[in-house]
Amino acid sequence: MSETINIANTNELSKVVNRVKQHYTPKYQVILLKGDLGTGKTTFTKKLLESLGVKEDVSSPTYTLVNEYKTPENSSIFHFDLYRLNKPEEALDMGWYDYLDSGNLCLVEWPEILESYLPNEFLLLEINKIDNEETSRQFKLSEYPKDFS
Amino acid sequence: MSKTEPIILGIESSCDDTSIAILKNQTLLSNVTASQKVHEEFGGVVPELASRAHQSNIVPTLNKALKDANVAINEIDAIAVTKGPGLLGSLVVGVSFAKGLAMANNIPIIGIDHMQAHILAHFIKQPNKDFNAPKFPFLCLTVSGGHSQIIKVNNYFEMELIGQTKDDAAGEAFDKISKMLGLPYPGGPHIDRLAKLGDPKKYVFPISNMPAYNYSFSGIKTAVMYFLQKQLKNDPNFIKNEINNICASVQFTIIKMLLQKLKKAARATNTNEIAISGGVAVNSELRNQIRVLSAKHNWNTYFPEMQFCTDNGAMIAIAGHFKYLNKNVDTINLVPDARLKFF
Repeated sequence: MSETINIANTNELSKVVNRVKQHYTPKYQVILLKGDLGTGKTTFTKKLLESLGVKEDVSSPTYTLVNEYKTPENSSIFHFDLYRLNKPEEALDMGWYDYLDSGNLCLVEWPEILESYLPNEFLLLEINKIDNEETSRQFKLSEYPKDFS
Repeated sequence: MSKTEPIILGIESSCDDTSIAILKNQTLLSNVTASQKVHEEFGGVVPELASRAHQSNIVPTLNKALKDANVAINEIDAIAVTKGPGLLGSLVVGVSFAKGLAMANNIPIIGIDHMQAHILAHFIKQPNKDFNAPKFPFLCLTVSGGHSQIIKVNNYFEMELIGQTKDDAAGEAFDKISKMLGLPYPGGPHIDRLAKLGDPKKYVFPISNMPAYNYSFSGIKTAVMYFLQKQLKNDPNFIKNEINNICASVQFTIIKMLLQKLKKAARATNTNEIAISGGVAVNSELRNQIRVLSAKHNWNTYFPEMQFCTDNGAMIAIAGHFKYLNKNVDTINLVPDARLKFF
């Protein structure tokens, strides 16, 4: 199934965060974040991690490829940004399957390159601007695999 | 048993580059980063984003570093290695290799914080070159693809984080904006080059307003994106025609943000010893602007040589040098820590 949430500005981001946190993070280990530069993938991740109790500053992992955070329960959350990868194999070389096998929540920005290495089940979050306005955004949440029954 | 004029080998593999350097008593003997040239001479592959690349690069890089330094492996007194922060898979390659070398030669291993090493790069001496290092206590602005920090440095080991970016690093803003402009990665050097031909005041982009001494570079990235979209609607050739002015204006704004907080921190800490480090420290306009400020505020400013600004083995070796003399060495149980926080 999929659902769509529209927000007028970042103040309303908690609507999306709460929905994802209550409904999806217990079910999915992998959340893919798709959206153009500047649509707010890292901003969403910041808010989600904050609401999951992460105390540290959440900064962009573009250069580091992956940042690790700890929840108050001391479990890890991995925040990826695969923007800089050129080949899918590089995701394997950086240990993508090891991060997956850890069983911890993985949020992935620019996940397109991972296509053949995705787990069977994941949540896709697509962020788009509404009418090309600067602050409003549409979040489309889709569960995979899609239920064809 | 430790020597007073030790020969230290430094290994850096925290991110993209495999780099190994040798220092004798604080003085550089060699500093080798895996590249096409090392590849031609000693085998291995050109750097790419992967721990596997580090694995194939590390032995040829070591061999070239030893050869350039004219040092045999059994003359090395200690191995310094980046233990974090960085990409875990890449750190593991460097640390495991360092352990093997240390065990085989029965010498100590010294784990180094990558961010601390960027700062200590200012203390690398070179044969037949003047040595001019900042005097303690000093402020260091570390700017790179992954970091933007202001640190107060009290001595070789005691450093305080005064401010840092809350989202993107300054180097990342350069890289992402250059991508929007269709320039190759990494984009910083291209923006620097084109900006020289443009008008830095032609376009105005917003300056982020963060509390205290903190930075934010995510806003300018988004502002430039909307600006380009708007302009391209009216003129499809806008980027092509205006690229020099866009680069100059973007660079002007990023540097202005960097320096605003640095000035503020210098005033608050009453410091006039100012050091710059990290990959973005090679930016020519940043260097110009800091020279202007130092004349105005009576600062003594320090820039490491280019080869010591980007990730390099020499900065790891110099950090190892000071820890070795301080008898602060690690055991073979050293483990890399991707999230290492020194500050």
